Amino acid sequence: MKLILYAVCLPLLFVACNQQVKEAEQQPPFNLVKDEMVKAEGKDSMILLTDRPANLETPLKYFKQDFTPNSVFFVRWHLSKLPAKIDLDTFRLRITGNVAHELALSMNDLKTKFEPYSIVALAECAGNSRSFFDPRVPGGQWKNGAMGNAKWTGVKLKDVLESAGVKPGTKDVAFNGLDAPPLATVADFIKSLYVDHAMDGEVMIAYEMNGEPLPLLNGYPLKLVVPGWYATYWVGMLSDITLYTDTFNGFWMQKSYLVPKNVSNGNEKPDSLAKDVVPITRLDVRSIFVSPEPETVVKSGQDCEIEGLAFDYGAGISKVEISADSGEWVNARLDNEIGKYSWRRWHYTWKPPAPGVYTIKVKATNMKGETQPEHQWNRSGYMRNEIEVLQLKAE
Amino acid sequence: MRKKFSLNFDKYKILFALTAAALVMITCKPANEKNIADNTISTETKLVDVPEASLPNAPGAEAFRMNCMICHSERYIQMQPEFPGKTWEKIVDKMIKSYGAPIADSTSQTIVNYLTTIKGKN
Repeated sequence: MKLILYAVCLPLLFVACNQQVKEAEQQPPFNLVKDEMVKAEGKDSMILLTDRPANLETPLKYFKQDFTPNSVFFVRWHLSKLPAKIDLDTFRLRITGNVAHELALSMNDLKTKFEPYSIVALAECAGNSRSFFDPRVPGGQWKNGAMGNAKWTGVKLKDVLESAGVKPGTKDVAFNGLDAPPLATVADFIKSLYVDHAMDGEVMIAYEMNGEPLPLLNGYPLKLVVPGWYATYWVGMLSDITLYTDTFNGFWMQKSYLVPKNVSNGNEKPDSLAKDVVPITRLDVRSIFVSPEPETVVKSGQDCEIEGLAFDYGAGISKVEISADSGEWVNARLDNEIGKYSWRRWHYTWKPPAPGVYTIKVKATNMKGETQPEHQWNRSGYMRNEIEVLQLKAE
Repeated sequence: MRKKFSLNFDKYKILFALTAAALVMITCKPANEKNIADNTISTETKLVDVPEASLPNAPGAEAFRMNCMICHSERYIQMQPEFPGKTWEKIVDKMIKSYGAPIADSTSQTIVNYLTTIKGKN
């Protein structure tokens, strides 16, 4: 009997121990730059930033499509406690605070008691492209793939709030999701909007993206969609909406996601940091290259099709200009507008005159005449919209 | 280790049982310590199933793992650019003051030193 016990237990103990030893022996090389791809729950292969909580970037090649597939739509969470499953039978969206009657809405309520509403809108993370800031700044080291364009379907936030009865004196509306902090001292991730914004008839609660339920990692079952505003406001796994008669004082509004006040493009200098900072709001005008990808070799004397995307907060893109090798700015061709909050594709046919390395720049301007800065920096690496540069080698 | 053990198993089984128990306690100590941190996040589910990244072993690595990995995966640090020690000091300070990281003052410097060792620059 004893022998059986030893025979079973001891090897088990040693296996457990040996695994520890193995881990220590097999330290993988410490790699700083190489993309690591990962296939997460409900997603296709994406660029891994962190695994806990999940932060995944969309590979650039998918931006050749006007609508970013749900399976590779970027993933950004702040807090590591995420439910792995959500039961729609018990899930409720609660509307509380300064309302005439508090509500607890099921998914069925949302789908049957409210008029469905759809909008195409670009979700861009406030920290998109952070890794390109010089000097570098701490935080998620995204390239350009912390954004995506989708058709969002659900209900207007206005309709839901009206159904609860917004009481006079309401100032802020706060949004909380099912994600939770791993430590009690870490503030729960809650964002807020002014009530007028919340009631503008465009801010919505989405239960579908691109005609399908949201992937869990993109905020299933409900996501707040704030067209034209940075995705930090697009609270996923949305479960609680609270109306306040005062300014909402949450950490993620008052202490985080702040940018210099009254400075366009969130710009500041490392040696003279802005003293006044305010919550980040809407997307600045921006354009990026999609194809060819960096380090592509093209043929000299032959047409090279360059394409990319331009967008802003909803004023609309009026022109996109290209400068090849420090030459004059010339207009790119714009595809039809998909929607005012969508990105808009541009094309430019460029013929490298001779073999060599060329620098191509792209700059968008919106209907209000707002355009992109030559250089930009801020301490948190937000709102990057510096004029993009693509180096191409012609042979 | 296992091979040596099995060779002598019949002769010294009780002695080895005790040794094994002791070894488990000693060898697995880091694992147990790690579990303390893990318990604070016990309801979390791993939705991105990748092998745990591994940061270099240098003085302060254990303090880093014990304190910082409550919220961050090792990959989060692996992804960061290199910063001067002063910047790391500010970052660790922010984690304590803004996010309530339960790090003692004495440990805080150990963590800053570790980060500066693996991700430092002048």
